[in-house]
Amino acid sequence: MRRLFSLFCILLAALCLTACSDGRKNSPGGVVSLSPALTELICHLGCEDRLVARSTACDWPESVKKLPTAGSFAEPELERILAMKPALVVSNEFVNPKDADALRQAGIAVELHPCDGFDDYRKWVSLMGKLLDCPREAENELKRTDDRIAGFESELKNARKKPLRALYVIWDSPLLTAGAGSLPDAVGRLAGLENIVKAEKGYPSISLEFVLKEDPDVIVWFAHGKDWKSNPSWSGIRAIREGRVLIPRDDSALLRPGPRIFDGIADLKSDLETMFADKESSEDAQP
Amino acid sequence: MKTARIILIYLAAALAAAVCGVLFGAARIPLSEFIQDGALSPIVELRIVRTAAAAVVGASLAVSGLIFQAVLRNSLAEPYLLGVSGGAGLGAAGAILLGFGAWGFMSVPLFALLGAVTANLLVFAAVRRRTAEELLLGGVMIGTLASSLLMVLITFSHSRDMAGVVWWMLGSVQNIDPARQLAPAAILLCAATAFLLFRSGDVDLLTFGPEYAWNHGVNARLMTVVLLALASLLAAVTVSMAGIIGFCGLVVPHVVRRLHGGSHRKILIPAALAGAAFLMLADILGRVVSPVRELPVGMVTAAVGCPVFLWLLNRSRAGS
Repeated sequence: MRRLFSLFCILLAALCLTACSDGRKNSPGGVVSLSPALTELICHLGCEDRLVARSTACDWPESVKKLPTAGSFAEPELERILAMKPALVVSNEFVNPKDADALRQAGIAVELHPCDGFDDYRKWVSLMGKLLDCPREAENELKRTDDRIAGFESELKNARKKPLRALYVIWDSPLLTAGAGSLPDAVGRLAGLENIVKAEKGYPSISLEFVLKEDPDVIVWFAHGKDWKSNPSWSGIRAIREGRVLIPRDDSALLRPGPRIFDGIADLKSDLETMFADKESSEDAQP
Repeated sequence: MKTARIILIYLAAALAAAVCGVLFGAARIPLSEFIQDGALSPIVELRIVRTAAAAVVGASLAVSGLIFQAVLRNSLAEPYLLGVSGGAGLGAAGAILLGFGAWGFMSVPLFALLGAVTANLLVFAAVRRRTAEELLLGGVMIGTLASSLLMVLITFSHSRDMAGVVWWMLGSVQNIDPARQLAPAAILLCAATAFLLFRSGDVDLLTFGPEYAWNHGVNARLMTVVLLALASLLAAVTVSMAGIIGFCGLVVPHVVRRLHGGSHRKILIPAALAGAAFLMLADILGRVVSPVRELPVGMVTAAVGCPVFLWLLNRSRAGS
């Protein structure tokens, strides 16, 4: 009996030690990120070890999938976060803004700022440099951001081509698109595209008649998993009929204002060049 | 006024609304550009399909509402009462949120139709004594159950999917397949209208209560079930293709009945034509308000219909 009791005590002690040594699960200096773009940025700045939890939408880099989840994108699970006792929670927004107050009252710092374009991204990089105490890495990322943007702009200037008029389809039914000032709008501009939706900001739902009237040169299809071919209403659009629909290789790289966005733009640009080179050559081949 | 003259007036109104539906829209195109390279311009084609869809949906809702109000003898009766909107909403949301939307364009309408018909059948199965009042209560219960299940789905959904569900629930005639959705709905509407015209005497008798109808040789319970099932099927088909469009099925039959009396032989076709004209005009308004965005037609029907109906209500009270 005494032996059994000793064994039980040893097991209990081992269990306690294991729990205490798992710093990620209960780390006082840990960071919870509820935005996939911010999770990517934290990892890119070399601070992945500071992350104690992520949102269900955070899936890059692959290694973050091992982390526990603490809510979905912009929707924190308060009890789980409070139990983790992190020092900081970061996100672009919260569906319920009162969640931020509840976390702050519990002594957890909360940083909520939107990230809709490259200026916002620069602000986040600077802020993360301070919050995570990695100013040099943040400085490097700011420089890389400026260099890549300048590179795309100079390529556009040298190409001297009229930009292609594009429709960004975020969702097909209702037809949700990216308007002026949105991230796809900024990304597309660097890839040599001109958004046909100029009068509306954000992500408006637009009419098919407007698309038919504007007659875009190309449709960039972000509606992952949705099919435009089975919808008869789409067949009237010339770009659809002529096969000028481009599905980005990795739409998360383009729709997330994170460090991968520049590679996403380069891929988009090269896919557009290939698509229009093919079209031109097939038109030339026709008698 | 003679029935034929009333029908002609409503027909003229519906035709005028249809012409406006083809002429006006988000894009301003001159008449000379309606035909390009020997074929209709894609914009005009789109307008024709959606105007026809608005006509069929509006007429179906008005006919369905007319039957509900007559059989239930309740001015507040509307086409979605027997669980149709809740069931269709659950079916459509299930298709969108569980990823069945990727099966193709028709998956969401088919799931919505399945949801509406299932909810409807549940109401008929769950209510033992199928009197109008008990079916109405059963409909409210099944509708509430479907709505709460819909909320559960929405709670676990992605925000982008949720936009699809919300838009669908607001109602729209933008994305309707002419062959696979519009044609069957039009055939059903014609068949239902013909049947109702044939049995309009029974409908008239039922408006005085089942006992009165029974005393005049109508199998009141069977007729009540048949009429409510037919009206719900009309609503289920429209809801599966255009989402939940409120107000049209509630107010249009009311207005027509106030203007032309209670004989269903006289008011059935005018109600259908008025419903068609009303929804076509609401759709035009939703299209022209902004050149880029589009207002959901269900929102327009309520926003425009409410003040018009209140005006008519006060006008007829003052007259009487």
